Amino acid sequence: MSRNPLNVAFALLFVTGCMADNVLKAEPPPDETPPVTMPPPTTNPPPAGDVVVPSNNARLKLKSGQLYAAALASGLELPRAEVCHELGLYDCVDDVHNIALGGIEPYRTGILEPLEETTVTTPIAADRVALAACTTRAERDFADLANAKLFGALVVKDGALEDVSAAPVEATIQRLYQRLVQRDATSDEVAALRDLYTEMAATPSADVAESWAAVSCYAVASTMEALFY
Amino acid sequence: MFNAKFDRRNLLRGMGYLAAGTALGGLGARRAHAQAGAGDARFLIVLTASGGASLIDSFLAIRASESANAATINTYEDSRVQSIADSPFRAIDTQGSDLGALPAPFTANQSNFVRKHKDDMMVVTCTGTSVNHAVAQKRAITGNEAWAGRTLQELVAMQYGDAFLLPNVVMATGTAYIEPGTDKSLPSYCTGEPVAQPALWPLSLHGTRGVKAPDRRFVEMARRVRDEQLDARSKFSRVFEKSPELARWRQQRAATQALETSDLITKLMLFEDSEQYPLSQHGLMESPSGRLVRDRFPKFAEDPLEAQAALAFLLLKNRVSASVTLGTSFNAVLAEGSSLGGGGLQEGDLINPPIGFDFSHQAHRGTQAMMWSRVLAAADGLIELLKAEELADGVSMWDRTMIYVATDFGRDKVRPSGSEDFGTSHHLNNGFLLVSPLVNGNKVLGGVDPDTGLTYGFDPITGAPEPGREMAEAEIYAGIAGALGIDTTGSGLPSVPAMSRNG
Amino acid sequence: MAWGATAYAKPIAPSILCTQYADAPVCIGGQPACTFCHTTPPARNAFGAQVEGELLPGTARPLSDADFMTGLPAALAAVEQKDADGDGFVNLDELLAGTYPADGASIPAADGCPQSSDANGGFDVCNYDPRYVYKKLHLDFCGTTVAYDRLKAFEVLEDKEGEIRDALARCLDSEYWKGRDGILYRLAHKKIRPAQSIKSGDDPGDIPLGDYDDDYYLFVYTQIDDHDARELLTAQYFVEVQDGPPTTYSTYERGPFQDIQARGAQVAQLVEVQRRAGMLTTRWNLVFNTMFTPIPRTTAAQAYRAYLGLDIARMEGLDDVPGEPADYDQKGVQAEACRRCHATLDPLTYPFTRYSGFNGGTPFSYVPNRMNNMSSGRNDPLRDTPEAGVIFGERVDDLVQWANVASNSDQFAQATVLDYWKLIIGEAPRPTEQGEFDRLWRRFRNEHEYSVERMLHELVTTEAYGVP
Repeated sequence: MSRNPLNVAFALLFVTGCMADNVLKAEPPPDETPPVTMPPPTTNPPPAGDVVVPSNNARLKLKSGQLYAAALASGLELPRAEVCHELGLYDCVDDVHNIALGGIEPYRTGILEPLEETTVTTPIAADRVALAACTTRAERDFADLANAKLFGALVVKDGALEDVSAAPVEATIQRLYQRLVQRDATSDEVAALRDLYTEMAATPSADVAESWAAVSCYAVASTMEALFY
Repeated sequence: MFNAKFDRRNLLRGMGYLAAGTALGGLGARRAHAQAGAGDARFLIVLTASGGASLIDSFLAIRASESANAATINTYEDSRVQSIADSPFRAIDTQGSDLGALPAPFTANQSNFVRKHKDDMMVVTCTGTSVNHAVAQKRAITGNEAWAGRTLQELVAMQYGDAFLLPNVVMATGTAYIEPGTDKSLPSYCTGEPVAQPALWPLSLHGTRGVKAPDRRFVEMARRVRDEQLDARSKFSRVFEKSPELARWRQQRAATQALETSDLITKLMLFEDSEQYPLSQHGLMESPSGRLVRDRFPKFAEDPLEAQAALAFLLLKNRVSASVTLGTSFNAVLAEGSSLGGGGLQEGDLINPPIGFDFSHQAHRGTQAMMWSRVLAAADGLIELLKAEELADGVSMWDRTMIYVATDFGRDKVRPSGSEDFGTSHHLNNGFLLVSPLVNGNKVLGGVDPDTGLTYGFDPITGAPEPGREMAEAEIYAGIAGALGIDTTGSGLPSVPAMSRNG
Repeated sequence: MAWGATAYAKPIAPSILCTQYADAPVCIGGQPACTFCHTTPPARNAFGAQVEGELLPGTARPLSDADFMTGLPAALAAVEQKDADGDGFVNLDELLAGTYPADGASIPAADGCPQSSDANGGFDVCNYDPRYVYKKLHLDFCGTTVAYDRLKAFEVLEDKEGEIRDALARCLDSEYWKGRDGILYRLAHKKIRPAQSIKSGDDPGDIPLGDYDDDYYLFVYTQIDDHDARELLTAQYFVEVQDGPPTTYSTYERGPFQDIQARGAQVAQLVEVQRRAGMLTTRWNLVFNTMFTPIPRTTAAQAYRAYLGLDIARMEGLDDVPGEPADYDQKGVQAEACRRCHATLDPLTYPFTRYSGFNGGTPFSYVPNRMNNMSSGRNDPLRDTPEAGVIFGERVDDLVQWANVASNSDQFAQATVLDYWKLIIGEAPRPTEQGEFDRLWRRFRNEHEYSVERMLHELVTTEAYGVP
């Protein structure tokens, strides 16, 4: 079939034609920081007698990046647009890690369906989103503890918690769990996060309380329970 | 869609692999293996020509004088078909003022590539089994499920990629060339890691770098608490202990540290520090090879194919991947700042026509010429970069690499009588271009009947042409696997030594 | 070995399997999908390969249907005690337990129930668990997380079912569900297959040819507010949107000329009103699928796949039509390797041939003499291409009739419900859930009167959704 001149004419008829303070705390390049080496993870079993009946359906879905960012925004009382930006410019979920976090990009790249399974980069992408959001929350709360949204109960002196065994610390951990996984923390979980503070406090740091707030939040926000449903 | 389904066997394999010290110390051992020598290294580049790249519009072009049906078969005026000295290949160089209804002047060249790389080029004929894009694409990488549904990329990842962090990276989004195979028994590291956006993807290879966060040591402490206590003991993870999703997640999370320690976030960062990508402000930097790849693929910022090619090279050079898949898109791409309106498009403004090679439906010859030129330019850039990269002992990376130009199918062999400007539909009959020092170079295996435009096959052992024979997808798949030195024991694949350089 | 020799999946295989294992969950209320034995038919999975190994060994391939029917029962019996996927459970046990014999991750369940949901971390793994559903429902349909306090309040509610119902109703009106780029858009992507670079209208691409926004609006409209989902294929109206929140959709009916006047030639819908068949005749569908093709098999195959769940390339929905394929466009489809699919596909396609893509008459419109316009001369058999075709064995005069038959078929109801099942539950029904699924799509046709929202209210009450 030869080309229809009308077709050409018809086709031609259609012709038509944030976060500036990132600078302060962004991690330095690798030549300035030796790689952190940690021993391989081990698994601590639950206490004796704490028995659950496993699900035979065992059916879980990963929260998409859209759902995860929304959950962090509501749980941490951050505007959705301020949850996480890469290079201070690009929304972590919408612009950068969308596909890794189960999103789609139908219009420009033809990705019409989310990945059926997570990939190696999915946990890393989720970590970056959680870490950015939690650090922002901690930073804002510690800048004005009296009006803090999440960490206001903590009693801080010279950048450190006054007493890690005090009730406000447990209350803060409970809030983290309630906000991020919608349940109360168990005593084990409270103890684990208190121990985390103790371990951190052994490392010289000017603002260990704020750092603990940020990474405790990150630890809970990036548990499998917070990511899958 | 992209990952092979996870099962318990894979988990056990994965766990064994990690338990063997993969995370850090193991990585060193694996890297030593990866860089020990050139002997057992092979790399595969699947360069996809989505939409149907026709061999009779390139290396097997037919001269009108050779055909009894010259007017109605897709033959070219004799003078337009170039013979390349000392080679069986032909080439079509074209200039055009438009592409069908699109006022897009273009210049396309095949002969330069053929002259330069003919010794590593091999064209094999094949008759496929589907003219559905997605189905045909999948069959082009599985040989129509010739070996338990394993893709060629997975074969290479399994045999040569066990020492690599991301053995199989797939970038040709929107096509079935990046879909996983169906053999669930393969280790999960063989599964393709999808990359939709090469520029920013490296940011997903480190959990903390460039993120505003507390001291990294604190983050590591928190990760340990999360993994060893919070997750390990929560009722949620115990109730759902049988979930393959959680098992996979644990395995993938365990691999995080190896990715981070390897500093891939730097090594694979294509872009330089700029206002658009303020890397240094966030403690990041461009790849040491950034300038090299940007110079080789200067349109990387506007042309997704060039960006993919640049990242593909970095993945291979840094021994991150053994197989990379990249390709032309179905989306139209115009040069930055150009538009169809106003004064129209200038030469070179149309980088990729809408629906890629499939735009042959409207403008067969122009589309084939422009798209072949585009594919060959990407291949040439990769070859040049890989030739300059030493693998070991004076052997270049290119010496151990294969570029497989995978395409869906061929196009109609007929045309309206005498027409130079016509549209074509899909056709099962065609073949493939392979470029590699590993293949039987400077050869056309099979041939083309000038009276029908149909390709015919060859003897899989000797390579002798066999008019009347059609090569099956499985045979081409087996030949590619053979040339790559894949251990096919137990596969039941046919032997096709004719496709390997050393038979 | 004859590589490339013709090999076919046998559509009769599921019924033979279910005759032999009538109590297998996969056979209750339906039949197993091709993937029970195949990866992509005709290629076999591990179970299929074992069966193939026992199927009339020594008999030449391909087997005739008669040989296949004779040999399959014995082959199935021969592999009962084998373990195709190596997961420790033999094939027979997996068949009877409703798990997949070719999937090592799919294994028969162990027994045991918790004393209470609370004692089990809030997961009643043996029963429909309202709290679990309430949390999940908000994520799936609203895109929100239920706050801790609200969850506590829910736990003490008397009428949990009522609250679940109300919550779902609220969610189905949310922007997350029905707004621009919401979840319903996500369902539509595979049907519409957008390509921004050739989009016209708002946010145009570099080469603007057609606007898929109309397709998304029509899709969403048919899925909400108790509208009849069949209108997806039969609507002769179009839909406009008022962006929200709340985003609202309303219908309008304009002929081509009126639409050009109202919206301009770049986006106007050019098929005359009485020739419209919902998504099948939108301008975008003709731009993207029909393009330049005289007999637009791609358009028909995409419709069959997208709206009826049948992928001809995977040998699904084959229904030999006598005398076909006639091969009016001389594509060689009568060849043995092509004939089997094209005997269904070609007559399925004929009703699409009068709708132009870029050529054959006024673009993107109904052109009665399109075949003449596209032929190369008087002797070109393309001119003989009929408009009448066949779908599901039923003769139809044109595409409007085609759409009516399609939208009233079991296949349409199944495909519609399956889309939502996979979206909300996360995967296709497992063998043990086949009965629930079957009941749901039948009720969608009858009790729900093709209302997607009513169907979804029932979907969230299924065990598949509600048992953790």
